[in-house]
Amino acid sequence: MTPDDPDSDDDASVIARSRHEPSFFAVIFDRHSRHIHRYLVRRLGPTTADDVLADTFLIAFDKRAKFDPDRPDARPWLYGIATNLVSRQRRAEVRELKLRLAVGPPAAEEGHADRVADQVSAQALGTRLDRALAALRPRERDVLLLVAAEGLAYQEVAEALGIPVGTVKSRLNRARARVRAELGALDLVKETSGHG
Amino acid sequence: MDELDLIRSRAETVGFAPAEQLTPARERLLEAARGERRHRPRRWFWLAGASAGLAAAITAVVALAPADQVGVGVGVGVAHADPVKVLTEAASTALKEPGKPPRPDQFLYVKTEQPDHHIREVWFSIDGTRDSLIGSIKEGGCRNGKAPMYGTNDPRKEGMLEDCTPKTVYRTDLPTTADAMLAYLYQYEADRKGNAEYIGKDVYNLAHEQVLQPASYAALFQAAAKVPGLTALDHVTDGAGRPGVGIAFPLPPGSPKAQPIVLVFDAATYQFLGTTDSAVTVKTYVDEVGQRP
Repeated sequence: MTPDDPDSDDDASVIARSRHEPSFFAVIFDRHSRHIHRYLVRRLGPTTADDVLADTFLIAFDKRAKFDPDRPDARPWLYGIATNLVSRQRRAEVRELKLRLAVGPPAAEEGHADRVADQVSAQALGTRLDRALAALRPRERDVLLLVAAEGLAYQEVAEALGIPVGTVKSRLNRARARVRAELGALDLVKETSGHG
Repeated sequence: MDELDLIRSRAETVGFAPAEQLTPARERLLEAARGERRHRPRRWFWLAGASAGLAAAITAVVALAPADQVGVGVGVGVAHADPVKVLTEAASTALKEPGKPPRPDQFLYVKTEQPDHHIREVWFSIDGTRDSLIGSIKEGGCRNGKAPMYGTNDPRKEGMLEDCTPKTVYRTDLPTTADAMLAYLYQYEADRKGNAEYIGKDVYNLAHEQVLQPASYAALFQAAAKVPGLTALDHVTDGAGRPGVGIAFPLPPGSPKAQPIVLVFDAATYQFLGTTDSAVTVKTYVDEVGQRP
């Protein structure tokens, strides 16, 4: 069952229509599933992400009557549902971060010595980043990753998580300070000077 | 480059999945939309998965080589150790660990070395009410349901309280028999493909920076022995280069680039040493946070 093309409608209209024509909700899936899936892969790894993606949209479908019709874009709402599911999979998430530590980065390709050195240093930094993320409080990790990795605005994160914008900012600041502390100022300085 | 750039560039290594990978999720949504299926049957699905996982584990033990073949087939790349025997010995050793309980006001100190010379040190409050340290990062202890926040960027927030529940690393709540421990491990994992890999990591997490009662610690390795598809590796080194015998947990099919988690045990005493990527070199109780034994 393929819904007709609703390109002109915003998410709120599509969701409103899906209350009477449930299959219409597939439009929301088609608009946002790639982003939500990518977010889930980043946080939980590919194995878990596929299942959690399905759950995210099933929950969204169940709750579609509660979607705020004043919000044209459903993506922050979907990020919020996905983040709630990630928090239920906290063990999986920390495991994913630790898995990356255990598996290590992909082998460096043959190349110029400097480039290899750069890669090695970037990889070492990446490893420490994963370690730092694993050590964060989950609520802080949520905010940090939604802002830094997913590019959500503070207001969108606030909508997604159902918290005030001020709380978004304070959690972000705390998370950044913790990550900086774990990475060490020295490495960041080296990276900055190395890449201009 | 600051930490936000670093996170962004690291995240960008994961791109969009091809549409066909998302098709099963879309199908589930459409089934729900058509009312063909109850929306969220996963809880029941998990329970079914859990018993299937246990059944698979039990079958696997039967399918393993008999103990009298241990020692046969020594050679390059061939393990002469039987994973079940190694883990059974590890369980016996675990049972002999001194069970002297720490005082609630003490700290568990664990030092872990990794091949890149990174050293991780943690000091965890035994009863969870005192401030812990992970490396140089302070973690507020939970007292009367409130924990102070540390490492805040905003100095005005430093030390302010947030809601919490105390966590203890001295675990007295875990099962003490192999079957109960296996069920405990599988209860979170049975729904996932490749769960043996995850079980390996759970075993490591419990053995690493937590303290289990000797009976639970032994049950942990006995439960691990029931995981299907384990391989024993005769000559491995842990993250600090200490030689030992390895137990590799199988990877899910279709992950050729991944490396399995390999738990490492002392080849003579079968004491748990760490993994091939990490070495628990010190694990003891200290009286003060930050104090090294």
